Amino acid sequence: MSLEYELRSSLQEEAADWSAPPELKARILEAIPPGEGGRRRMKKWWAVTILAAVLLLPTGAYAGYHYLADDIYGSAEQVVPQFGTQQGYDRLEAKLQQAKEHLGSEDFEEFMSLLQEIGAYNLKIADAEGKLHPQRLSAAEQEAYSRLADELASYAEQMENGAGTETAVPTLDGDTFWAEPLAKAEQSFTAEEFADFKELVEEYRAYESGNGKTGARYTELLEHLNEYLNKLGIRIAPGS
Amino acid sequence: MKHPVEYTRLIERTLAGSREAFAELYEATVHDVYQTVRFFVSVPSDAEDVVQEIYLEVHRSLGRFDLGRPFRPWLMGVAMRQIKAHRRKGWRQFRILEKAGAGSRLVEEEDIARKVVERLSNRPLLDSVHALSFKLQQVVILHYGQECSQEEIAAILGIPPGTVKSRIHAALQKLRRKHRADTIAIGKVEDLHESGI
Repeated sequence: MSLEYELRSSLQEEAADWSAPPELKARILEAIPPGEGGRRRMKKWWAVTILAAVLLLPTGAYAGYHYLADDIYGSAEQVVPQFGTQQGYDRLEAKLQQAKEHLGSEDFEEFMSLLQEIGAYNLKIADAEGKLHPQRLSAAEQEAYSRLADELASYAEQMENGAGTETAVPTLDGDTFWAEPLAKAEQSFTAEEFADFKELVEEYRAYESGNGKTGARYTELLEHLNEYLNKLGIRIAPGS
Repeated sequence: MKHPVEYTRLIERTLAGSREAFAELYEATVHDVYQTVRFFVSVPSDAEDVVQEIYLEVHRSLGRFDLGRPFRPWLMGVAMRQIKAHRRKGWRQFRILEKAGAGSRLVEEEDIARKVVERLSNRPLLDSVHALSFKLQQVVILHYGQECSQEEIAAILGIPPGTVKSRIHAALQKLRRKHRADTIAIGKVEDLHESGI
């Protein structure tokens, strides 16, 4: 008799009488928190990750160059309808943009990957209210989790320290923000396109500096402006 | 185990909030899960706790399951991680008790329980399997006890198929060596017995 055959039959013979007691099913079903399902959990993960980013990063103005949050979630269009609000997504994006401003590109990449890693842990340890319970992790995971949190905290510290001395982050109505796209546009657009673009920018900045952002003209303006900005690799989100 | 389409249906219903669907998912899979756990956790009440943790984890993380992939390896992957966590927890508790001076008693009780089981089962091959390292035990139990293919084991443990193959090979070699040594030892005892000493 071959060893493999013997192994198979011994193991299967050993297990033949093993079956889960019927009451175990009821015990498990009772232990599942009411209303909790995988999709809700995803929402929680998203919310918790935003929370982590919001708590860790200093606040400030935000320039909507490129949606960094898309690197984590794909796109706002994908995430927002199911899991959150556009404001929430923009808020996360603002935090990420700020981090990018403060950290070098290498540090920022590392920071983003740490944020994604801690997000995966947060999914495991968040309760129905979105509170985090690191004690739910195994010893090794807890160690990894606190190491991640420490590393993220050191980045946050770097950013906090840099916040006092740095120049203001460009805002959408600031000259600093528009200087670069206008210079790029002048080089790459036709004269007619550039004139149109300039006009749109002026109008947009008028909205930014006082008028409401909710009107139909504002949406239309944003669409037109984004058509040009897309060519320059820039995108502005509504309400940013 | 059910047809993949049935799993997909049950998972989708569970994600939509149906407890009945999750209960069905449990019914369809618990046999394999429970048996796998029992191979590693010999005390039945502990095994039940581990199975409970497995299904709670499955319910929590079902939203992350890719419906395009087979369900069984994913489920068994969750099971193996919980088994590993249980082993680590057991070791931690033992260390705490040991510091408090109760460790030796715990070990004694566990040893007695294991020895009784071993004597009753009287199957040296299974004892040898239990004496293997955890990594080798995993592949042996999944491959020979649960009839998982090498590809499935690779997906369950998150390791390359080549590693699964070499672990199975290493486990078989160790078991063969032990088997040979036992046969020689038995032979010697029989010789001694027959010579009347």
